[in-house]
Amino acid sequence: MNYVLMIRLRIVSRPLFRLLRWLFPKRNGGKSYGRMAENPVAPGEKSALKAGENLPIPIPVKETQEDMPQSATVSVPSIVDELASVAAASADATHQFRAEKIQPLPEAAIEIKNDIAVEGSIGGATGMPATGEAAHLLQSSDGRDNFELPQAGSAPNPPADESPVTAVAFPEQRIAEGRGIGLEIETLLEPQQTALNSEADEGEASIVNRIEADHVEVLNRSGSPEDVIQPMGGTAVELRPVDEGVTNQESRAASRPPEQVSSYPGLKPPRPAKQTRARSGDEPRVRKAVFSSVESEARLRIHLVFNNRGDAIRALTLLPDRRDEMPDELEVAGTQGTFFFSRFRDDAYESIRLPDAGAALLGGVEWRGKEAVNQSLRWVLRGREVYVLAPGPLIADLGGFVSVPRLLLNEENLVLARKTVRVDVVSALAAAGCDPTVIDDPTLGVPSDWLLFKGVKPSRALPMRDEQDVFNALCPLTDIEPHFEGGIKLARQTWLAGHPPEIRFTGAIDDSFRAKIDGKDAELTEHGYLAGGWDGEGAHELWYADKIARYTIRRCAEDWTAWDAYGFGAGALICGAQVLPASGGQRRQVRVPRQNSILIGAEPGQIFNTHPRPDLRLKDLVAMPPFDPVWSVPSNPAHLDKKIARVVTVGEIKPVVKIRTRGLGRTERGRIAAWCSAILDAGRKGLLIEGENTQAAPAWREYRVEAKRLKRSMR
Amino acid sequence: MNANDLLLWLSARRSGSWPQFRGGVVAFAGDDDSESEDRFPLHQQIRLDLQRLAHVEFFARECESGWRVAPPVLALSGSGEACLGILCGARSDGLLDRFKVAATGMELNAIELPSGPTVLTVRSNQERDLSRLAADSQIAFQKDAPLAILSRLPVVSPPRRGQVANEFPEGADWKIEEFDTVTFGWGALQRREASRRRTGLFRFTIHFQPPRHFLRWDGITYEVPRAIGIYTLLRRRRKQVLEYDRSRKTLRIPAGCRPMHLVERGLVLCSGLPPSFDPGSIALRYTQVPEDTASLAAQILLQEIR
Repeated sequence: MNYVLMIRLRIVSRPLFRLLRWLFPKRNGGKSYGRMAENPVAPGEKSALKAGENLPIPIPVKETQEDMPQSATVSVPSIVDELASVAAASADATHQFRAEKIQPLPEAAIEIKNDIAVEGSIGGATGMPATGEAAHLLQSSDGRDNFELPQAGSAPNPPADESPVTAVAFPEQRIAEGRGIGLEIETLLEPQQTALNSEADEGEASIVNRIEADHVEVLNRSGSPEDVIQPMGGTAVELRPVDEGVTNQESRAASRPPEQVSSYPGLKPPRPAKQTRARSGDEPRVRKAVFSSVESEARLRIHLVFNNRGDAIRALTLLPDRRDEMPDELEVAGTQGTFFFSRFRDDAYESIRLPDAGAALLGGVEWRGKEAVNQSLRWVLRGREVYVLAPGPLIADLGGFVSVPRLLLNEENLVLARKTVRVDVVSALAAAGCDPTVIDDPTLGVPSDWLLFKGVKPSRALPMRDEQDVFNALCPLTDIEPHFEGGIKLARQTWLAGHPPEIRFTGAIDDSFRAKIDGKDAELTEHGYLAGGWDGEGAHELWYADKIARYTIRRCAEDWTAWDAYGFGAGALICGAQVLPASGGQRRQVRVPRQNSILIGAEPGQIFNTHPRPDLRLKDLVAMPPFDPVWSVPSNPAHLDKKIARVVTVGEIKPVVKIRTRGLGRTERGRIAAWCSAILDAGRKGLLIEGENTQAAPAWREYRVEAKRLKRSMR
Repeated sequence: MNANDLLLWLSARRSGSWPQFRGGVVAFAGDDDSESEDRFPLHQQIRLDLQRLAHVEFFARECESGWRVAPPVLALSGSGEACLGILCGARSDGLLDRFKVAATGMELNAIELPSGPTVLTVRSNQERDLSRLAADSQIAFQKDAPLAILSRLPVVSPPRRGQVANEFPEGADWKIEEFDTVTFGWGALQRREASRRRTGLFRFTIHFQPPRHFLRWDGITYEVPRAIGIYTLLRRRRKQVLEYDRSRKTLRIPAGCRPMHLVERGLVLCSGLPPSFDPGSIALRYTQVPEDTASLAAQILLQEIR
């Protein structure tokens, strides 16, 4: 009695409940707001906290005096305090920062790849290190690391003297193995920028928060200096071994544990005693590197693209640099108006077109973040009368031409110059061995009052002029730098197997120039420098001009997996061209006529209703049953015209599986009963079997017999 | 322009952000000069081709703000004696080598596209041969790909009762346009006029942002995807825009009424070819589309094929 009452109550309550749900639908899609409490920090709060944690220490830039003696060690007191805060806690005497302010270099943001730790210590007059804290490293999403300095107050023993400071970089993991050297140090700095002073530098931002050091030594465990140079797609800062004559090698060697002998054999020949860079007699030696973390300023590079015919400028834009900590999108404002920056790559925003490019190039550009949170960000292009642009693929993995500080030797450059300095530019280019074509037609896209020199391919290196001379940009450097062009680049210095880069060099390359790849002599071909196995899978070392660059070739791992990219509640998921069952089981897709929506398998109980969609008039149905179907039968054969309706063979005809019904559960018995009914109903109607398979008719009879037997046994 | 290298690069990287994709387009397909000339941007054209040829998913689940490459699949179209297999999804040099070796003796075609990777198709009289080809190439096999995809898609539907209404975005910088169901183009209008409309589809654009589409439906505003809004409005205006040529098996859709990308994928996988643009009638033409597939696509779009 109670049972009957319950059923009646359910019958009454269900429509009532549906009515109530219709009248008072769930808000927010029925989702609970409770999950919000799981994240105690709002996104904005989190990012603000991170910014605060990584607050850099502003370090004033020391101006270089022109009368600074050559090769003299000059202490830099202003940065001593800062280096004290990053001084190494390690007592290892080999890990030191040393700043020898001899000659200025343009500022650059040095980035360190892999797990390179940087430690600093303050040395006394004898070069002995003091203790301090290790510098932080920020691991960015794209695998780039930036130096990060701790808070100023964290310096344990700020030194009061003006001792020389040495910077040392080495990889943590290598050190753990006891044979570490600094592997890869990358920089945004263009290679040829290293000899320019910061004032003459093109578009470079004056980085406020930085540490200056003349040298960054990369030492192995035993303290031996390594001259590791790591370019980043053709851009690198030189990290050279400390000159034995001007550093504290002796004192360092004295404090070195004798048993710690470098185990790194090195592929390169013995290093020459002198630097490879050519210096004029009066020109002081220059080594300055700037570690930057959260720089508030970044550079703007000029990006010039010709039209398809190459006879006119299609686009002359400014390419703002982007760093890891910068937002993907922001609004900036400056004298040229308001612009919107949108992330183009990890290291750059979308190019910005200027309404009056000529005036901007001459007067310079300074844009600052418009919103309060971005106001500390600044992009600067210093105005000048001469700009040098080098091939984009060589410099920045971009088409067209991108501005660089100085002409690249033996490469086709462009020069944008004011008409007023035409004579000077022509003579400077002639001195460099160039015979360019001059375009001054504003209709071809050249800014008014400006000239474009095409076909600038310098063949001679020139010494720098006066430090402030704007025409220093037209003095090509002799430095030999490697460039990895083309190929399919997967990550920094990593290419896809089968699509390696072409290795080329710029600089003063003569007949005596030699390059080796993995210890084998490389030969110059039309596809760059090649050596046996240079494009094989794995890590490779390129030796050239007493330097080493590394690159990796990686095979594509074919481990792609399907996922539920699209699902519309129709029991299936779409991923690419695949349609997968939402249940995640094995996929067996069959196509059956619309009226034959019941699929039957060889095992009793294997029955699947495809449920045709009421909103679509489909001729055929695509079903994904969880078993291999053998037959498809109409869902209601009693009401069909038996002249039209058919039993259709779906897959391979399999003999029916004989089973026993004793001991089966209620659900299984229900499925078997449905399986039997579908077969017997179709048989009772006398439906014909579609298809010409001669095995079909006897097999269908066998299924009917088995269905009858099972139905009887389950009574 | 080398979209094949781009696809190899995408396949090796597996997934990434939209800016990374754009950077890849510049690196492998060259600079995008179309934006300046008011044409369809090259990176969007490549994105469309990769998406409708089922190589890469964009802005889908698990890649909401970027892209993810789909696993390689031999998508089968047709049946019986006219089976066409199309190589979709990720690619690698090794996979391509295996595929070409396994397809020896079959009719293997490589069709170059202007803005997409080379389409590799295989014809066979037997579905079983193509199934074996997929197995030998170590890739998945999808039977009846167009029908399988289209039959899983929801039908375009007008806003439901109780659906949460939206409002037009605030700000004077937005450029507002209304969809014209006669010319299938967009015409500018003022915000005040848009707010007064009882029914209509409006596009709001602002610099460097993807456009947003708003459907005014019985005086209420709903934010909808572009194609949903267009076909809902066309249904309301009783406009039939799909034309099917039974003799040539081609489906013609006005370019301004490009359907949702999964519907396009179903239509494109009939032939392996993206739609061709007919500048005379400003329409997209999908070739080798069987009538039942065209009919199914039309039903999803609340249309009837003429």
